[in-house]
Amino acid sequence: MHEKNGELEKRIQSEGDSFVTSSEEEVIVVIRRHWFILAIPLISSLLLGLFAIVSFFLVRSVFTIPFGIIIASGIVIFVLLSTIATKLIVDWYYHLYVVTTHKIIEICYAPLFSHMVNEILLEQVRCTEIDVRINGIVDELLDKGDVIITFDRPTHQEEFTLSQIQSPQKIAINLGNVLDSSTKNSVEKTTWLRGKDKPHRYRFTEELPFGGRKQILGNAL
Amino acid sequence: MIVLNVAFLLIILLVCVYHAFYVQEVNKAQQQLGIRLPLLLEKMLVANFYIAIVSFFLIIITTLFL
Repeated sequence: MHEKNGELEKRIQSEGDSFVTSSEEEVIVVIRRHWFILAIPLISSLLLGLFAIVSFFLVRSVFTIPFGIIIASGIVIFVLLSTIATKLIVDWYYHLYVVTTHKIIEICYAPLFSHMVNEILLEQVRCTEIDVRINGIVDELLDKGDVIITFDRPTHQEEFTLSQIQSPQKIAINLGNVLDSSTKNSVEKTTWLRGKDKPHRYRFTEELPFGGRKQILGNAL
Repeated sequence: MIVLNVAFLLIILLVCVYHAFYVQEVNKAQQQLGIRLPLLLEKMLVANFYIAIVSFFLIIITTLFL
């Protein structure tokens, strides 16, 4: 069991390593969508193939069809099914969420069809809510659901959803810890000041390392 | 019946072309993202391509026998 966990950790680390941009950054978790999401279209395509075969035999019982056509149609059905199955699996495999100490990334890569990378830099946003949504009996039984992270940006609110993932509650707790610590760090680094002479104006300051010393920089708004 | 077999041939030909591009694209994705597919899935992809080629020739043979 420990070995299995070790292997899993190693795999997660190796999968997330390509998204790490600084030495301080650590991969927290690499999550794919729940396997049930993959199972539904796989089973339905298999059923479609079976339906095609059954209907072919029904037609054959009414009309006389040469043996060559039967073989050819069987081959075509098999090739199409395996092609669809492979595409579904690869698409599922390349839809993943990577959470590091610095960012959250959603990668959705369907080779030859579409490519989407959605990245949120945790230092640039303030997390206000982490919600877990589990809908229905099936989701409860399989322990799958959504984790919705709400970010409060200066201009508007944004939501980031980790949809249909396994163990959403555990992931939400982990994310809460990560986002809490990243928010604390960003709060420590920045300060809002109000001057005595212009009380209606606020000044934003941050500490930047400068030649071994820390220097406070201010931006008047 | 020959028309049906020719239609099958065209479908398989399309699948062959699709697989040829698809395998290349998956390799590109693996390099870009740094995430390798499981070995079984990688082999399944390549096997699909070869199955499609073999099927193409099989259907040609069956068409000739019609």
